[in-house]
This record gives sequence, C-alpha cells and structure tokens, in this order.
Amino acid sequence: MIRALLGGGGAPYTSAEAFRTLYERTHMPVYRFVYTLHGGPVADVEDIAAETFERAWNGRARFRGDEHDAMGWLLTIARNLVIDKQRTEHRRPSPLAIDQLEREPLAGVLVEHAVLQDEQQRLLLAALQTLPVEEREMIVLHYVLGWQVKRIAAHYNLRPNTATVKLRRALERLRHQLRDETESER
Amino acid sequence: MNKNDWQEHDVAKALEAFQPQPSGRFYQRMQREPWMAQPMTILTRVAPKRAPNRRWILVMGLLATLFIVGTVLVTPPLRALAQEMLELFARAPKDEITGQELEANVPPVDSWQRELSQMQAEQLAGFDIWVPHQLPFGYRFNQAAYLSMEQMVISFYSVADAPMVDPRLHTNFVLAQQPATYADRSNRMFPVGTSAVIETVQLGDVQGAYVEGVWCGTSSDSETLQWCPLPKQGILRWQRDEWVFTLDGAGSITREQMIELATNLVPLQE
Repeated sequence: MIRALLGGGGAPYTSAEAFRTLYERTHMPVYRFVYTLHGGPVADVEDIAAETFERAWNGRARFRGDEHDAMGWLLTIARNLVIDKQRTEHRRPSPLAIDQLEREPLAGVLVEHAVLQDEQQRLLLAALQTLPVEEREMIVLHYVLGWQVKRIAAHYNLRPNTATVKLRRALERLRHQLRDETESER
Repeated sequence: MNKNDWQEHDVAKALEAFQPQPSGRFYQRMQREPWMAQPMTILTRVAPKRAPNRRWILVMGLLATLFIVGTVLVTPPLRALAQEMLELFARAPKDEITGQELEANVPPVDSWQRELSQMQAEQLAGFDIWVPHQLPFGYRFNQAAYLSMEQMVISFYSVADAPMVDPRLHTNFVLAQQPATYADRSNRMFPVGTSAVIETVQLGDVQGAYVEGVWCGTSSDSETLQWCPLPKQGILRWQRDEWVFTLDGAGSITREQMIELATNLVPLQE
C-alpha cells in the first residue's frame, strides 16, 4: 500500500504525507519496543520514541526500502537511542519505572487482576533489563511486537534456526532471572 | 500462579500481555512534528483529572449542547431567529460552571450502548445513518455508540492505534446523528459559555452552527470549569432533511476539515 502510494524506486518517505503514513502505522510498535527495551520511566521512553521519528525524518532522503524495511530502520534507530541513553545515564534502568506507567483504567477489569498484572510486569521489566541488549531486543520483537522467527532472523541476518536457538536461550535466561528477582523479593 | 514458579509459557504470556500505549504528552509532541499537517491544541479539553466515565460525560455534554444549538438553527421557522435563539438556548448564565451542573443534564453513561459497529448502531436506531465519504488522512472508524432515549447514533473516529477514550489526546473526533423530531428530548441542556461565539457556516445547501471552545478546569483540584474559547476546539452542528448532525472535532481536526466532512456525508453502505 505504501509502495503504491509512493511509487518509484527512490526514497519513499521524503514527503510529509508518506512519512505521516509511516508514523501512523509504526508509532505504536516503535513505542512498545522502546518501552520494553528501555524499561522506563515513561517520559524517557516517550522522548526516545519521538526522537526516533525525528531522526528518521531527518534521514529520510537516504532511506531506501518498503514499509517492512522501514520498520527495521526505525527499530534500529530506536535501539541505538536506547543504548545511548542508558550509556549516558551510567545506570541500569530502574525496575521501579514501571510504577510510573501511565495507563487508562479499564472499566470492568478486576482490581486484583490489575494489581497482579502490574506486579508481573514490574518484575518482567526488571528482569529484562539484566539481559544483553540483543537478547532483550529479540524477546521484545517476538513476544511484544509479535514478529515471527523468520522475520527476526532476517532482521539480524541470521539463519532461522540460529534465531530460534538464540530466542529460546534468551527466554530461558529471562525465566531464570525472573525466578531470582522473585526470590529476592520474598 | 506461584510467583516463584515462572514457567516458559508464563513468561511468554506476561510478555505478550505487556502492551503499553503512549500518553497524551507523546501525541501532543508528535502533533508539532513537521510531517503532521494538523497543528496542536495547547490546552486540554478537560483539565482536572477525571475518571474515564466523566470524560465520556463531558464529551457527551458537548454533543448534547450543540445538538440543541444545531436543531434550533436549522428548523426553518426559527432560522431567522437562529442566532438569537442559539444564544438564548445554549448559553450558560456565565462563563463558569461546576462539573456537577454539567453532568446533571447529561444522559448517564451506563445508558449508552457502546463498542458497536456502525451497522449495529444503525440497526438499534432503526434509521439509516450517514457517514463521512472520506476520512481525514490517518483516521479510521473506531466504534459507535447508541443512546436510545435521545435516538442518537455516535460514531467515533481515531488515528489508527491511538487510544480512543481520552479527548485530551487530540487523536479522535466524533460524529453524531439524531432525528430532528427528538430535539425536544434534548432539554438536558449543556450550555456553552456566555461569551461563546456561534458562527453560521455554509455546508453545501444547508447552514450549520460552529462554535470554538471548551469548558476548562480552573485548577487541578477545582470542580469549577470555565469557558475557554480555544481555537481548533471546534464543534459543528447542522440539520439536513430530518436529521440533526453533530461533529465534535475534539481538537483533532480543523474547522475546514469539519466543514469538508459535513458537506460530504453519505449513507452507510452494507
């Protein structure tokens, strides 16, 4: 659809209209990617997500590819910004940042369930931040953004089997970390 | 689940359930970006912190107000007196009002039937509904609601993937349709401010009434709201044939976009 809109084989997102379409279609996964990779607080996550699109806008003349490629391009920008941000701050992201997650209260959701989910998510984000960035990223792509292994493999230029092994290893490491974090809180 | 017993599928499930969404701050920042055509509205529609239901109530209140305004405007015998009638009908005694006063005359939220498709809403209403021929760029239909007492069908349109219920996000707008014969049921008046400017606009072969402004909170802990004549917080109302329409731009779409939408409604296709 984007291709049809843009036509030609040049830089596809040079016009504001085309870039806006890209933004509309990708801002949610980019935001979730940044959030899960970075861990919060929300203000930082939103700044990084916004800067991702600002950088992409500034570099749009150099980008070649379709919407699929553009998603990978945006996530690469986002990933680098997350790494830069964490490096600048000389810190491991605070797992407490999840407490600042701004959410719309959902009518009909049982309070107990919401509390349990918050607790799980807090632990989850905390555990994720202990993983190497590539493992964290693969987990986010697969489980939070719903990418298939084949797409993840292509994104990292890996064989699908290799990607599968890495993903399982990352998940296993996360699981152990979660057990440790849970145990340490008891 | 035992907290100390994370299994692989528990981890996967928890990860899949983690779907955070950006806040209004993010969307407001993005509205200022060069690739976004629409300018940002600086103030919020509802400044005090409110529960979601109260946001719905406030949106509904705005709709109800303009419903009355629009009905009076376009009824032929009253058209000549429209401006005067509108002011008499819709203006609050002053530019301040309490949240309680506003909500007192608004249909209770639990009487709404929400999260409907437009087809479902049309079936519930029992009349043909009209929808935009073309939506502003990036917008899509989100959900419809039906208010049986008011015979009103409301369609919500939002930017793809944006949260729908928070009018502060400026990512959604609302189109409501109601039989003109039900105008007398709308005595639950929700006034505009004393100083509100009601503009007559041409929508093809009919005229509509356009107001810019919202009730704003005076402070974070105050229940008193004041009328804020904010540009781009526009509401457009008009009558075509036996129907009264309300288009609440909610700070998301411009006056020109609203006029364009209002001029080009088409019957909902199956």
